[in-house]
Amino acid sequence: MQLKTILGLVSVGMGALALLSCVDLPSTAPEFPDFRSQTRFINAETGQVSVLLEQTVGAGLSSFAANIDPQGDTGYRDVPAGDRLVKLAADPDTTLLAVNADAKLTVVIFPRAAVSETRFRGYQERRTFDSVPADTAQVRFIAAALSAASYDIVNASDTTVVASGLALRGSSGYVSLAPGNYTFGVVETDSTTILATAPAVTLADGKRSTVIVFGTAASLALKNFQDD
Amino acid sequence: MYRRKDMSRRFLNVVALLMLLVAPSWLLAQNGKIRGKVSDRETGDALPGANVVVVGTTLGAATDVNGEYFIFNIPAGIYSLKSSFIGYRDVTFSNVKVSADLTTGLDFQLPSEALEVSEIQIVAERPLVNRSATNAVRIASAEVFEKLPIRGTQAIFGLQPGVVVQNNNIFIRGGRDDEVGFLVEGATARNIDNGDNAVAVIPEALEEAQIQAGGFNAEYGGANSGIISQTFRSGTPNFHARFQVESDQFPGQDPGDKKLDSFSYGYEDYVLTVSGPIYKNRIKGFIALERLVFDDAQRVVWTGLDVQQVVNQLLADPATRATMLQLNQANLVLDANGDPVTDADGNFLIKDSGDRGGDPTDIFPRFNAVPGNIPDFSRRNTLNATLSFDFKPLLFRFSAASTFQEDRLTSFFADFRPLLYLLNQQRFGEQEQSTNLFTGKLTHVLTNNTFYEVQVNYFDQRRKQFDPNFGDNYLLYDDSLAVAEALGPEIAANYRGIHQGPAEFDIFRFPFTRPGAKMLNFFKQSQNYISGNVDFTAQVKNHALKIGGNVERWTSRLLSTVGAQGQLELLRQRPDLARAIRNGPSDPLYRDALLRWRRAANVNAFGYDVFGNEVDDDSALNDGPKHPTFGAVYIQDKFEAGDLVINAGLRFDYFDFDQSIPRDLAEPAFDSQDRDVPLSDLVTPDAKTEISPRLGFAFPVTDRTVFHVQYGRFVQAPQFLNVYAGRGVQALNYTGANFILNPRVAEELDPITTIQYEIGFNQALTDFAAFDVTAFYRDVKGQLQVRLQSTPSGADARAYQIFQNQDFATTKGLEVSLNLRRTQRVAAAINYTFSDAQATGSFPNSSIGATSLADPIPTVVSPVDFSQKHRGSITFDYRFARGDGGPFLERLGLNLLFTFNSGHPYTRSGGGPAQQGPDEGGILNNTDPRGRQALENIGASTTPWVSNLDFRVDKTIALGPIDAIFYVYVQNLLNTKSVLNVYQRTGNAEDDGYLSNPDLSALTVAGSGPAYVELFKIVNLQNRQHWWNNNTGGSNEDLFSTPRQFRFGVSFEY
Repeated sequence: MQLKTILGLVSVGMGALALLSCVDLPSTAPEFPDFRSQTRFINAETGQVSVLLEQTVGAGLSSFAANIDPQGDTGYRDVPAGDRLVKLAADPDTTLLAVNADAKLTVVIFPRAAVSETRFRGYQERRTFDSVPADTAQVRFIAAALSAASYDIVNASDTTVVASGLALRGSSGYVSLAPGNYTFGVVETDSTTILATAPAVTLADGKRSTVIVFGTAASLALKNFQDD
Repeated sequence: MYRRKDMSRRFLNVVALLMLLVAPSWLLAQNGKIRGKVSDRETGDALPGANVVVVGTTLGAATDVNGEYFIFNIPAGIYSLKSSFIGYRDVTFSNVKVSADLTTGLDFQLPSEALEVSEIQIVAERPLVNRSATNAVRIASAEVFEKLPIRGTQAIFGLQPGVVVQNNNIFIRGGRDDEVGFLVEGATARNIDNGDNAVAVIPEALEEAQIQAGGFNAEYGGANSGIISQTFRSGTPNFHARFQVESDQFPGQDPGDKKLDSFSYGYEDYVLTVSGPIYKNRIKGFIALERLVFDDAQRVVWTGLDVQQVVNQLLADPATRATMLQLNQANLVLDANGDPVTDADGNFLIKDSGDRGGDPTDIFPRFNAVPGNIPDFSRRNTLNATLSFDFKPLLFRFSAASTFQEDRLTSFFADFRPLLYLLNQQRFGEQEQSTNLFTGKLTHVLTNNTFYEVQVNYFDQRRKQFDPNFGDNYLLYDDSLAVAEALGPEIAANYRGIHQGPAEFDIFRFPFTRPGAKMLNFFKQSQNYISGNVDFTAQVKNHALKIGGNVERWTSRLLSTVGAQGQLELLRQRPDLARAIRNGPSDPLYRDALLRWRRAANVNAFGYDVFGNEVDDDSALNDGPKHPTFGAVYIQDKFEAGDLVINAGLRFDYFDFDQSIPRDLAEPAFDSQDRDVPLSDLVTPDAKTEISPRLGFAFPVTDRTVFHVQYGRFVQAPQFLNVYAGRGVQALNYTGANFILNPRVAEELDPITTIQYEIGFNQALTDFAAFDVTAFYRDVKGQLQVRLQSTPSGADARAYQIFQNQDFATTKGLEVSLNLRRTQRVAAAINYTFSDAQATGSFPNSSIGATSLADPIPTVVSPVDFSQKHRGSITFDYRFARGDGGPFLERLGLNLLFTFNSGHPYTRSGGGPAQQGPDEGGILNNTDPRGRQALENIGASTTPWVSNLDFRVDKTIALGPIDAIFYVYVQNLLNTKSVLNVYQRTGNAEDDGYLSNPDLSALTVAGSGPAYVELFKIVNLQNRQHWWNNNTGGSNEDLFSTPRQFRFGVSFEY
């Protein structure tokens, strides 16, 4: 046996093993994302409702939230992003709800005068990875009262208009305000008569809130929901 | 899919039948033969029964009644041969060179024991004229190229007569670059996609490279213009080791520093070889390992760019300052008085104009692309090894050739303008490539005259391009959130949306990539084959009979253009599709997801689904891997009687291209909405068979002159780059919606055929000089050509481009080589080739521009782009042998290599700027030649002549048992800036014809000002960014030759 040669060959071979390799060519695709959203349902109906939701396409409807009280909400829950089929347990018809990826979403269950009217509408808060602007507070207003009128939202302390022209299912979008304590009131558009006020709310720095006008034309109510 | 199997069965039957018929006599390449005669030195009488052995092996033979002997199956190399006979003194010849496929003649004249002489040792002189070759065989052997001032096998090949290296491609005798066959240890070493050499060979591992420019034996196939066959070294009878290191860096030289008027490219090359016996002389091994590093893989003329310096200088001049303040306000930061603002260092602030979608308040960061170096790299590790077992009558030989290479890519997708991307180096892509070729050969020696061999080969090549920040997870490439995590939020802040990358800076109308932008999509490709050869050899009197056969089955997979922005946006917009892809084909949305994904980026995939999962079969949605299969059987008879050699052979080739083509080319069924082709509409054509006769003669005219004549027919498969595509890409073709330079759709293809005639002679001028003249004529038919396939009015498919066997070519030429064997201290070689290569197209897509103008394509024969009519080299080697010249000059060697070639054809052209942006001026676009107008006949102009001088000096010093060789070599010694290519508009490499032609540039210049002009000169004229972008780019294809490079090395040999 020629030890010198063997040692030489083995040494170089070991070096080769250290330096050489096959390209690691993946035989599978990377794992595709399972996009999710944080979704809450808010009940603007006058009675309790139960929500059925199809978690994935073709899976069928299943119970998502049972017996949500009037003016109550489910809190944010994890929902697969995509086109989600939803319905109320008591309703015959379904609605296709667009749930964006990586988003926080508020879905309001509206009262309706006719079956043809939209029962669900989603209002996106923000991407879950977006930061909320600092040194400011944001609030938005959604009209969910079964009324044909158009409403403005005012700061009850000085009746300055914060949002205007909200019809049923309308949203003001986020309005930036200085952080602090606020009491919001609702007036009919172009009127200064406050029809209802919300409980005083503290808008914190860098946080968002949603204020919803519930009820009917004859009986309005405002309620604040924290978005962040 | 409908597939006809009968041809496959027929082929196998033919193979089986031929094997049965010819079982007694086969032969294989890669090994050579020695033949000669043993006679009495005094009387000249033949000595029957004398022994001749190859020292250190079990190879040998006894002489016949005429005193003649043959020794077969000797691996290429240098040997000692010893003859002995009772009553006679032994005679040993050392330094006997054996070359693959050739016969080395060696006659022994034994002195009688009665004479008072001891054993005779003779150093064999290499024959100047090889009498057994019936075609022009050029052999590059290690002992020659080790002394040359070049490195790398391609440079070695480029010196051989008949070989043209242009734009980094090898052409032989006017054939296209995919017509060269590469063999390593007898196994195919060619990339079937593009025909390139796929296996890296370490020069120190190479025993010899044979370049057969046509006229090769029937045992070789699959190549029309030439075969480059490389054989590794075998283990030596004694232990040898070698360590060698080279660098191009002077001490203390940093990137951008010039020493002796040359830059360093961060070149380092380390080679380690070990060779020797493992078990007696029966098991021998050889191994070579190389690590090759370039910090700058683009060794090109490169002046760099400092935009800040340009602007500072321009604004310092009152006249240009006034113009710039008028025209370039968008790019300058002005104060309230309208004066340009400077920073603390006095540099004028430059900002984005916002014209490309960027924030117009963004300050353009200063960067300095230093002269000399582009910040990319290339690192390659290579192993070449052989292991030989000599247990006669059984011999085994195993070889391995493995390479792993990683490169940093300075291109942006297919664009190559590194100067404009240097702000975004963090996202430069990388490419990894590995190649493994393993061969195993069994030789069974049946008798002294007969043996058979069985060889099995496995080849695997893999390549991927990826973003090193995210690896294989291409889903993150265009994801601003992932970019934020990998590179920081300040980089991700450049993104315009979750998947919308940063806009380019617009700086005086030039686009500079903002940091963070994606530079490439994920790409992966694998090719492998398994092949087998069976060969029998028999020497029956003067006939060397060979019969053999081989089968080679490939598997090819590809995935390209995946991970594009559109695909990622699709997922976010339709999250259920992403979930469907996760869930797989059972998900009701899966088909929709796949089609949309494929459509979103024109994904080309076969062997993978469009997401990157391996698939093994064709299905409704996916294309399985391609399995081209080649087979051949051949019979060869080399008759050698005296000096007359007749070499006759017949080869039967079988080609199964595994094509998928529409049933009806005029009306291919496809879904224009889903951009899909139904599997049921695709057919796989029959396999093709070809018979190729080969006939060669070699015969002496005088003692010093040997003529050879050769006729041969050669066939080969086309490169599969133009043949294979996933159905999504096929469908895209049928829509006619885009201009596609390489359509990747082909009609039923036939092999490409060549008829070649060759005549030549070798003339020994003196005992140390000989020349060789070979004239050849080649006629090639069936080369790929793109044409327009018309479709009926109202059909879904619009007229589309498709490849066909239509181009033809003729080449005639003359090759002359003069060899001066070392005499005294001088050895020299002169090679010259004249060739005239004309064809109806230089490349498969040469006529792509014409497809939109004419159907059928006009048949115009013109010089091919790579036709260098005159090409040659002169090598001069002056060397002091051991013990010669005194202590300082002993074993000192000088080598000069002068190469030259006439230019190559091009076509002077004109045309407007078409869709080019102001940053590219009026460059004529090769990737979309529709707007280009020829101003003369195709190929009527020629680029200038090119010449180059390389130099090497080496000195060997003995340190005990170790030889230390110190050497320096200089490539492009005179630092000549040779013009390799020119702008078609001007015929000049310095002027693209844009700024100098007011008709083209006046408006843009008037509106853009002096900064634009200055940047255009630096970016596009000095550094050729727009030219590279419209060609392969960088060192692969450039207007100028490589600048001077010094390389220093030391080698220790034991």
